[in-house]
Amino acid sequence: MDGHNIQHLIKHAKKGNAYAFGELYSVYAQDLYRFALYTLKDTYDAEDAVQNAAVNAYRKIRDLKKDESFRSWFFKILYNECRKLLTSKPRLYEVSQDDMSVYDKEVPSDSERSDLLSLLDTLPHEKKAIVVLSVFDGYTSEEIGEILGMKAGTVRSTLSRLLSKLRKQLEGADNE
Amino acid sequence: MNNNDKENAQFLKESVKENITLPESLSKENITKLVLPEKQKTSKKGKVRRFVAVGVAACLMVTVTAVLYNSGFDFGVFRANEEAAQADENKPAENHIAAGETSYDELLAYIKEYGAEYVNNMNKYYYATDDMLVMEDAEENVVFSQNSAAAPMAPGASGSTTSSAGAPLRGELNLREKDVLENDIFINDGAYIYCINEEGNIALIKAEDDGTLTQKSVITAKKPEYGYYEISGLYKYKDYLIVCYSETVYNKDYSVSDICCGVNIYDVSDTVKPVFVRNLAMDAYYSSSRIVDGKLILIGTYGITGHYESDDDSLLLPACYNEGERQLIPAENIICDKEEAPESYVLIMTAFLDEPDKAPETVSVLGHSTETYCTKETLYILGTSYTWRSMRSSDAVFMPSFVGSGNADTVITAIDISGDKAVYKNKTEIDGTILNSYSIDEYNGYLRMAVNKADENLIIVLDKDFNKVGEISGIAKGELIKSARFMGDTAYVVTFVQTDPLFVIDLSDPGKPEIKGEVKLPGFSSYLHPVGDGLLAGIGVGGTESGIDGSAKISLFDVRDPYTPKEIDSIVIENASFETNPKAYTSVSESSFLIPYTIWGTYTNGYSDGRFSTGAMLIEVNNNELVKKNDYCARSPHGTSRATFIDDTVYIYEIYSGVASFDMETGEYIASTSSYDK
Repeated sequence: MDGHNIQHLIKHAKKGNAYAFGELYSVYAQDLYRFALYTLKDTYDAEDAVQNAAVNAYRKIRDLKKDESFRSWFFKILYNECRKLLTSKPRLYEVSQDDMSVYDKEVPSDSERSDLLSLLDTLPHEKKAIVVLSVFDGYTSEEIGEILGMKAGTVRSTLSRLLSKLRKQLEGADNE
Repeated sequence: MNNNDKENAQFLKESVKENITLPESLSKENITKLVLPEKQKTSKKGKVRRFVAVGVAACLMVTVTAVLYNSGFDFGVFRANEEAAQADENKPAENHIAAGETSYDELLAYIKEYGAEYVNNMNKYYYATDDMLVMEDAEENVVFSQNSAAAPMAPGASGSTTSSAGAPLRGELNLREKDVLENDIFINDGAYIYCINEEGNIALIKAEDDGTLTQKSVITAKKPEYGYYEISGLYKYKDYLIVCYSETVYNKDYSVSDICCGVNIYDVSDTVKPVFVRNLAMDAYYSSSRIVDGKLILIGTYGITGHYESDDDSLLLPACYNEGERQLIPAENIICDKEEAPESYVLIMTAFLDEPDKAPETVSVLGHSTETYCTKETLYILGTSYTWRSMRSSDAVFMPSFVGSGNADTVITAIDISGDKAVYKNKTEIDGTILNSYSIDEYNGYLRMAVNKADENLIIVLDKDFNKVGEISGIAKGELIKSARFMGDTAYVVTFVQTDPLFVIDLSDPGKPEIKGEVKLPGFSSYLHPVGDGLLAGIGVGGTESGIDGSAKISLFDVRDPYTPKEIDSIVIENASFETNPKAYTSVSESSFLIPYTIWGTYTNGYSDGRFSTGAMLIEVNNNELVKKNDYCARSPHGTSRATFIDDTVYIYEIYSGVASFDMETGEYIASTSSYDK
């Protein structure tokens, strides 16, 4: 779908047309779900987050000031939904103190190291979001900054460090 | 991003073999349903006040005195035409206010008053768009309405096979109510398979005697240039193929959209040359449909919140299409409930399949449809609305947060479909949600339902006038109903948080429903089907004491002693899922069935490697054991959503995978139409 059509859909969605919003959503659905899945690591939570984000986005779309920012605006809503789930959702199971050490590890175990997704899971969720948005969704540092509420320069330098570090870890795993 | 970063990003991206399938709940259609129709209720007090204002205007014109005290339920309904009120002598007159001859005007006045308030509130309530919504007015709860994300599920009591003289033995669609036909995406008539193909068109495929498949023709959908077209399901009725569809059309500049749903009817007596017979359409979003006694009942929802500020009043009224022209539903066929916010209409069209020249009849009721349950005489329309709750935070702003399915109410509207025209019977509202049409059931004049509330589950029994006669509350507090099945005087209800209790509930005294027994298991069943005397098969997911574990599970429950239900056998497959849509369950005999499955390959940290084995299993219940008689397995990244059989051949199907056939006895692969791989 080209930018022109998207602009028209936004215009229509702002007037309350749910179908136009549905079309608009479908353009980004896969990216939204992937982002939620990588961030939350749980398909049910990811579904909840995307649904809630869609509901919020539809309700708030009238307040979207710059139509051209729709994509990053939508991701920002989703990111907030993910954060809510990460910080507030009670887990269904209890983790013993011994198990908690798993989450403190900076370097993944050998068996896990070869997998980028495993490596991402060792990062704080903000850094993980930077990588996912950049690598999988092709966002610029400016857009990521807008979504995560960070300065573009900070995103740029963080991203550069993370990309290089993750590549080294992955290549290291391949060489072993 | 400099070149080095770009190269690193590319390297990382290529290192991941991504295979993420968007869940059905996040499809465009389901998200559209989720946000439509948006509903913003004011408090009950506000609603009553508003109606009184309208009522005063109405009283100047009425010739029939209305008495608003209720006759067993708390709703009053006005019908916008005196004649209509008089015509329905069977209905309790006190529930109707006739609003005089200017019926559309009356209705429009009501809608416009509400619409002005709605638009005002939409502009007023919210500011702050970063990561929260802030309400300016904390006096009133803002109620958010959404359709259930789940596609309308349907029912199946029989799902039996056919073996009448001369007719081939074949898999029939698993129906919720006997003799109340439902549509599906994959159907057969014993000789041909009719299904939706990956382009969204309809393939007519001959199921040859040797098990091979011959595509006879494809009916191409007339998709709009701008917009989308979706086939919701197919019926085969006599020589007709009936195609239910939804369509959204945008003008080139997207300034105006037309939304409609309807049916296209084709004569497929010659499957090589299907002949278009007629189209029936409504200005509504498709909700559901049935065929009962040769009558096609089509149900849709028409939202009007986007038209409150329109200059065209007719857009605030429900309409059908006649040869492409929008025609308003006669005022006497529109039923307006004073308690219902005028944000959407449910439209119910009755078309006469055996009398092609007879014009269809359409009626409309204010409300929306998220699920339907239909017997031969009565259509129950369920409209669930979810709630935003405001919470006071420390700095005294109000931050609504979406609180999920627990905070919801469901309006149940009963429509008499026994005659030529659907007739409103009555309605009620319950706190909570009803999972699907298997969670509601009419039996011996009572309507029983399994209801999920915010923190508990209930069994509610209503009489025919919707008076509550019995209830059990507090079932499995904090858990969600995952499936339910009413069978005669007994209900079986599965709830889940970390483990799955199956409750056996005795309803033999409708006034005193009683839990007789329960059994707790890991995982949960999403669909329950009777498989012989006192035995139930539960199709769902497996798990451990800590929760679900990604496995697929079929449980065999022995419920012969209601006090001590037991799981007597199970089949568990790791990293897999069974299709739990009731329409996917195909009975082969009373004690055997086909069930589609997909095995997701190996997982690394929750992500699949994309190696899918998929197909259907033939499961037989034999001597209180589940026996996997055969496995009709193919490979497709899209999985399998349906399975059926004709004579000795099993057919599996998924829209993007196509159709594949197997020898039922040997399990040998025979043929496929597209991307199924041996």
